[in-house]
Amino acid sequence: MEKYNFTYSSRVYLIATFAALASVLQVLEIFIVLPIPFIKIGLANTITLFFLYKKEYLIAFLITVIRLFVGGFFAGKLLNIIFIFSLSGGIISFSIMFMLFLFFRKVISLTAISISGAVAHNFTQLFLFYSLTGYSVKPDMILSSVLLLSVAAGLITAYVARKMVSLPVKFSFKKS
Amino acid sequence: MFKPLDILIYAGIILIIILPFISEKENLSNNILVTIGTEYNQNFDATIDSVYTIEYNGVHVIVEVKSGAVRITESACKNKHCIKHGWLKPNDYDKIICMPQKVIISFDKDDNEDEFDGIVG
Repeated sequence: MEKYNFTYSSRVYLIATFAALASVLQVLEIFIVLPIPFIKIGLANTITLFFLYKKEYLIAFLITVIRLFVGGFFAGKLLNIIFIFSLSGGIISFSIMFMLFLFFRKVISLTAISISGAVAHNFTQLFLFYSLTGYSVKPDMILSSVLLLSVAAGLITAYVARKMVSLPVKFSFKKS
Repeated sequence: MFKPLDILIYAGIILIIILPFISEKENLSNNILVTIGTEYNQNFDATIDSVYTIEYNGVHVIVEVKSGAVRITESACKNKHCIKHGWLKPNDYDKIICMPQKVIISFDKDDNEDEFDGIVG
């Protein structure tokens, strides 16, 4: 296995590079035309999943937050209502995936974590929309179709993330 | 690549997906609403089997209620489309309409979500 030795301070470059990569993925996703409008695959989430899998939790969190801001800036929706939806979805999704990785790493697969992250992201946005419009939350067709679409997106993300995780890369940071 | 806790997550997701299909038939109402034009409206209980005769301003309709369903058995109109419609059940989401006499028979659904129907975008 190839081993990349980063010094403690050189993590900054790693974070910058991967945050830029995630932002580009998030922006380029706009141009992927899907048959149903307003849905995205969430390819930028693969970077977060990769770093969570490699036990670099702080790097994963920083990359998630930076790519939300930078991607939002380049998509032209920084600090408006869509950005607030995106930010809350991203942070809740990261928290769910982080807790699952932290406590249940031995008994849960990467696919299930990816799917639960996608479901958490979409449910956060849906419930935020419900709370803003005053619509009552109950199990109906909207809820199950959102769930079905997020499962599909989570499966695609998990496929890409598993390919990334199987690459012979290992990070080790020396404190100096 | 399949680990024990996956079953729990997949089962939860599948449960929420099929939940609306199971719980769909809950808010069916037992309240039959008969309206004539805009002035007259009257409610009947669908759980009681009975025959009602409605006479109002020259309108003559006999409505039969039996085991939760409703139909028109006699009408003073010309072409009797309302009688040919047959039984109306609560989960039909339909109405019996007699155009010449302006009679509409429907199941009164008390959803309070109708106020959001007008908001689009």
